[in-house]
Amino acid sequence: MAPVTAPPLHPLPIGMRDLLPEEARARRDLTHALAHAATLHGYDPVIPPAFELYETLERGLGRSGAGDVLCFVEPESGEIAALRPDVTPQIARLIATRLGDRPPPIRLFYEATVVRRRAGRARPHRQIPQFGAELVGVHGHDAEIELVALLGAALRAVGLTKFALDLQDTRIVRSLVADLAPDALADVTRALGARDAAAARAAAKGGPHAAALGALAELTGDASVLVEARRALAGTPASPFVDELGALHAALTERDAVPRLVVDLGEVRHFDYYTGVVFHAVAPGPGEPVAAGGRYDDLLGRYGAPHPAVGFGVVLDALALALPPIEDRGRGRVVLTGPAASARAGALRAAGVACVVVPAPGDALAHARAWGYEMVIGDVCTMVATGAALPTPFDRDEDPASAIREMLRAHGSK
Amino acid sequence: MVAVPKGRILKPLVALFARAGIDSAGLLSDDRSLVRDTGGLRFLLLKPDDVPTYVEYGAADLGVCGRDVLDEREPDVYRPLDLGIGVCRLVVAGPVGAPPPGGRPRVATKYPRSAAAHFGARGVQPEIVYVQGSVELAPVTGLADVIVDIVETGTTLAENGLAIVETVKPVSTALIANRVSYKYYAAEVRALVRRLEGALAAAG
Repeated sequence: MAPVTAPPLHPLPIGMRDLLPEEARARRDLTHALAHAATLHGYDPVIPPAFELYETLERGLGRSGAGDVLCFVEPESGEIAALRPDVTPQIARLIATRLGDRPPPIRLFYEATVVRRRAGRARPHRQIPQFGAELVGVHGHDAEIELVALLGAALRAVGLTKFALDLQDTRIVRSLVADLAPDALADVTRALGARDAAAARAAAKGGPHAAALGALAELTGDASVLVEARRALAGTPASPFVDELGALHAALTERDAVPRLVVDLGEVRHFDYYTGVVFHAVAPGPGEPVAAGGRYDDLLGRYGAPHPAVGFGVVLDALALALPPIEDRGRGRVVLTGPAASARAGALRAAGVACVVVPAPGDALAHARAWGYEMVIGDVCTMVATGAALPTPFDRDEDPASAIREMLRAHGSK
Repeated sequence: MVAVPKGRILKPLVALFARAGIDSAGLLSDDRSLVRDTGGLRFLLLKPDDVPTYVEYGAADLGVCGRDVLDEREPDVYRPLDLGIGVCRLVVAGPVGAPPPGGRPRVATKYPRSAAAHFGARGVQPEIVYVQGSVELAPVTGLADVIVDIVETGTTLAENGLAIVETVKPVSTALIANRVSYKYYAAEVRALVRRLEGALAAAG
């Protein structure tokens, strides 16, 4: 007897992974549903490349995001290329360089995997499959309302029922830290990023808005936070932005764009290129937001085509974790076996029933079980893949496809 | 769901929760279950080093964690409140009477990043030796010249013939929160933080 050997490991780099058929099928259904929602809202698909010249990406990301980028030297040209850590700057470049002749507003969506390096953190660099949408060329809250409505509709369409959207405006913090020295600015940002009110007050000490910055770290919650914020930020340059955020909050509430809104005025974690409203969709389960987005009015200008813009990206792994466990979505598929199998397969496929031919009748049931097929149809009898025998559906002259469809319907799938 | 560290911090933590009107005495009961429902909250009893992991990944919404661990690991979590308990210091300690190591000191520690940052800030590039416990043994056995470790009273150091060379930074215990939980359960988290703040203020 041959010795039993373990299968070879061939490990993947840290943070990379495969999706096997059940998960891949669920993921494909997920992205199809998100894409369908975007299409229904008038968005067109684009497919940007997996890597770009570092110089081009950095123009959009700014310096702070640049440390998260995985780079390599492109052997042909000797130039530094970067695996995209974020798709939005790619879309900005794409619009500025390729779609400049089309009239705005421009509505685009994409599905793409980004790669981020997170040196030294608990979670190291990893691939992050995303679905995103960008609305370019619309000023004012109409854009945020349209985009958040799309995000809400898309998340609801894939079956996410419990989620909330947090709202922040980057100008609130920026207007309060404008006078701080660079060191103090870094400390305040870090303290707010950790929602550490005491540290935020201490870091902003001596600046004109120390109390207001400390208050921001604690201003997270429902609409009542807006009332608190108006009081805490009265007379500061941030005050008008709180009022604007309140108006957006009211408009989104009125439209029932998402199940619940959260105001989070301590939020400072976002890409540098955001210039106004930023938001995250949060749901119990994954421990990280399922989507993030905001307004970036300067980004397209960096590529030579100034346009106001808003966008969001859905983190598909996080969304999958927030959704109920994967059902068997491979149902309704059929294994055909026996001499007539090939001829029947053609008729079934023409009728839209997924089927595979397993020539040897003895292997058919095992194949069905291993790969999640619902039913085995042979010349003698028909079985559900769990093993129960059903009467054979085929008379010699009967149309097999309609018979199968009938059976599948009777069986409760499709 | 609140992740709390097993060990010395548990008693002062239960006392603090009690002052905030939360009965968490069940945490101190002598049984081996790692999940305790008490005071309307579900607590997870974990090794201190694991608390930020549970919170960062969202398996726990909130956690109680020493700043020594937070600074060392830099988990992606919020730190809304310092709890003022478990106060101690991160120090450099060496054999009593030994001259300060010159050149490239060998440093044994459970906190390699904090130690490297401390020495790096003064232009010293130490050789860091990572150990998981009984750090005091390292200088005694010649594994390292000095250690970087947390010290509450200094008794353990003295008993092993060590003395504090310098303080790296003070350390206390913080309430930490998962990013998503902090937003999604904002009302509940804020209410708990306020009650704990009230208890801390009353204690002065």
